[in-house]
Amino acid sequence: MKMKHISTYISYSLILILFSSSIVAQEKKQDSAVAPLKSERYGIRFGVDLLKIARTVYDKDYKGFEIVGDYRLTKKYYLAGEIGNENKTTDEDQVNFTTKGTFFKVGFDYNMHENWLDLENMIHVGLRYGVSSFSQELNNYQIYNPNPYWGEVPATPGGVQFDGLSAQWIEVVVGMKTRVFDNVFVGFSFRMNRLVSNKQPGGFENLYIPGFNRTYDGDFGVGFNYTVSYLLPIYKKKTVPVVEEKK
Amino acid sequence: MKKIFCVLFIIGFILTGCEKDDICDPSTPTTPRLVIKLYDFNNPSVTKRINNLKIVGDGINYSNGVETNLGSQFWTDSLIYIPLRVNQDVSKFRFIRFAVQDTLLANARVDTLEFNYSRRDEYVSRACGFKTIFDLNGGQADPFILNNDEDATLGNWIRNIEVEETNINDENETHINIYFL
Repeated sequence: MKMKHISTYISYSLILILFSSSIVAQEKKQDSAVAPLKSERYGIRFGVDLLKIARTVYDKDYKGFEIVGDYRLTKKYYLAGEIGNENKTTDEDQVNFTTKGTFFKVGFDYNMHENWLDLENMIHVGLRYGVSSFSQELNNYQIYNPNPYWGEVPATPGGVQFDGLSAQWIEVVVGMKTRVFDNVFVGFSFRMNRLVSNKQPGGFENLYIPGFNRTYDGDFGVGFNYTVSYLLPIYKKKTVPVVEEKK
Repeated sequence: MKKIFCVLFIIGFILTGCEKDDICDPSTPTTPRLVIKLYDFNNPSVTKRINNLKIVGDGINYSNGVETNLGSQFWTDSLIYIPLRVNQDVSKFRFIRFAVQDTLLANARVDTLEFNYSRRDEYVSRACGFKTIFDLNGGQADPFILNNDEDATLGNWIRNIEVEETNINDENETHINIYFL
């Protein structure tokens, strides 16, 4: 679905490139003709992460949502952020625990994509600073015994809750957004996270952090979201298309 | 742009696919065994190797003895590693000297040793979960009881026993000393 979008989009762009070059060539001939002014919309865009909603529906061990938003600052830069909440029970071979908490991320997106005419697509890179406040509850655990002479022991109930935990991290974001109709956009993004601070529970570890996801090797994480968002236009800015001068 | 996405996809797969922290590395210290060092009773500063010692847990079949690191049920060494119960505060063993394969012969000499302790479970890692550590001083009874006699230190082949270290946190130090002839 996504790939199809991209390929149709690319082919449209190619056609547009061909057409516009001929238009530019014609305009060169008749100097009096005015080049059409491109107007770009500026506003606030907000939406939701569909993956977290879908997972809430099909995964009984997960409840979560994420609201995304951005505000266009300049032609290329967007102030961007996410806010959300997660309640996830992780069942691993050795430990079973429940993480509950809220996260907030703020940063910027830089649109690397040059749009033709009134298209408003984005291929963006960005950065976020994320903070999360959460609790961990150790439900049960296995005792690792390399010499189980007396037989395997069933899981030991944990029943310990660790409150007041927190973490902060930096995210590198790469993604794209495309306008599907009117003011509605669909997009996705990949994130690579690196913890900068992590308040661990005494006697346990933050193996999952809301907003950061699973911790790898202690302080690395990855993320992905698939968003639907709505643009609330605030004002328009006219821009003169840049025409390359030929010598 | 396509190149960037390819690289990102690959990085994503590497990060989610490898998950090397999902397997508990055998070199990670987890639940320790009780370490017994054997000494010569006539020369108490010198360790002594025992030959064909068999150790069988209380209530466990004679053919299912405690195994050495090499998988043998016959200990021929001066260091012995005893797996304690991780869900009870007492572990009892028969220490059988002059043991022969599968059958308990009349000339074998048996001493029963009961270890009493308290337990604590400590977090290790995602892959290893928790480990149990023991304290020989925290048990309901004496740290060790020889042949069901709380005051005994002289057994059928054991001449003396002493506690060297009460905290069993790892296998790097000796916890119990046994002297024999």
